[in-house]
Amino acid sequence: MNSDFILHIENLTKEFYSPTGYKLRLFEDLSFNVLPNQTTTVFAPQGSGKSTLLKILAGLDNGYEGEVKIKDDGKVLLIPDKPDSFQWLSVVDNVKFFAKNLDESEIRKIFDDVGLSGYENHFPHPKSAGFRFRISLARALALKPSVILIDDYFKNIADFETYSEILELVRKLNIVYDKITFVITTANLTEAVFLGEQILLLGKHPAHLIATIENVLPANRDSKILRTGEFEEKINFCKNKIYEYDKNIVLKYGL
Amino acid sequence: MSDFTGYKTFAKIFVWFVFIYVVLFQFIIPFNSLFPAPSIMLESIPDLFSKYKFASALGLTFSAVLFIPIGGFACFYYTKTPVIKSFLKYDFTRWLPSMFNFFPLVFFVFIFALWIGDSLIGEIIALMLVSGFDQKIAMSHRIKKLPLHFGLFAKSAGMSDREIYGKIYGKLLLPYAFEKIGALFLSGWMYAFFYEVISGNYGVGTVLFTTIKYGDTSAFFLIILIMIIVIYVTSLLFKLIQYKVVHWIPDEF
Repeated sequence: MNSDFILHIENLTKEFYSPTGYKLRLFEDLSFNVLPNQTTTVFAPQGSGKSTLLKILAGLDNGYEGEVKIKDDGKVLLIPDKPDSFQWLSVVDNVKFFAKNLDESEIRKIFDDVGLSGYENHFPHPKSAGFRFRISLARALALKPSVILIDDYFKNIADFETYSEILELVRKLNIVYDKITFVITTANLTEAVFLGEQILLLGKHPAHLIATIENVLPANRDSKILRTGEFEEKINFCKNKIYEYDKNIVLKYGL
Repeated sequence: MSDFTGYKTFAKIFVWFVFIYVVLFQFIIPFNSLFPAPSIMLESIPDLFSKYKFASALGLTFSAVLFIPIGGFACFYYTKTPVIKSFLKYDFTRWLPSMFNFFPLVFFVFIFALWIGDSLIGEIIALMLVSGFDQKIAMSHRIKKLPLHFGLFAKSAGMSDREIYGKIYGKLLLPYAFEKIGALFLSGWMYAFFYEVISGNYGVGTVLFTTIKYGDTSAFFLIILIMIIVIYVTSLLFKLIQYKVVHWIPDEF
């Protein structure tokens, strides 16, 4: 077992009964480590159990077999796959709802980091999914966690400009908050490669690990890298890994 | 959620209706067997208050109906945590309220009116029961669609289930509870009239029934007119309170 991990998952198996009564196996002997202080992306097709995996990692689902270990019992927070900021509270109150003892200077720093300065007294509702994601991030950072889990959120962001900004923001936070580990699930390979320093490729039915890829792209990358040959190469490398594993998998992944 | 368009439209239609009524039955066909001329209706106002004791009747009916929003809100506020918990955790509580889809709740008013009879307390209990049941049924349907992802971050942050049910899910349901209470406030007037017509010896329902019995159409139409205005104004006040309490635009679910 690799001791340099923040999350250690070994032989994770989960079964559940579908609404029609069939027993389904979601994960089978899934094992991987999440390395500390960096971003790990989990790339898997829709319906492969990404949300369930993150719920298990966050300690919200205990109905599984296998081992899930968090180093030093650190705090693991989950940002779900849909906007979850409270509409009845202002942006600042959304943060204070969870982090009651946070002082003003800490709040100001977090707001500067996530790009919410000047929006403290705005309300979440009329704003975009990108804005609401910033609130979710601010809430999470305010609690000083060891790990932040982000569940395939970026699909909610409609316009490309905001989408790029948010992806860049997550990359930037990974550098600024270097003591926090990010685990991000996605069904979008570009997202997985852009965000992750470690990429886990998962197969479906039941979900299992196909490959773990170390991403050597520069740490402080921005969205300009998306148009480079280096990035394209990385994408193709991941695709090849998946094709090597199963040539018929293309449709399942939408690649 | 707090949209006043319906109120504005109703006010315009009502003013037009009154105008047409005045023109039609005061100047064009003042003498007919059903609709009294507006001038005769105005003359019957003193009688309405002296002979029919309409003011005290309105006061009694209003006090009974007022228990619906007050009781409805108190019922929602103080029971939201156990109700949300039971609906989310135990399956049977999900289909139990659906049984009332086949049993019109107005039967409870009928049963109470015959059982308890001429009593303001009886009327209040009947109205509270019917509106309480109706609200719980509506809420049960809403809880089925509750966006549970709002509780995931909170749970991972260490919040207890009880706090999540009360402080997050309860707040998500609040706008819908207010909408339902507003609708019950309107139907409550009908339930109250129904109760009073069946068994009461007081209230607007009884006065209305008396005017029909004596064929006093001018008093009857005058009461209808006054009640429309009273119901409109009280509903508008309720809507304004709702607008103050639910100051945000909720996500649809």
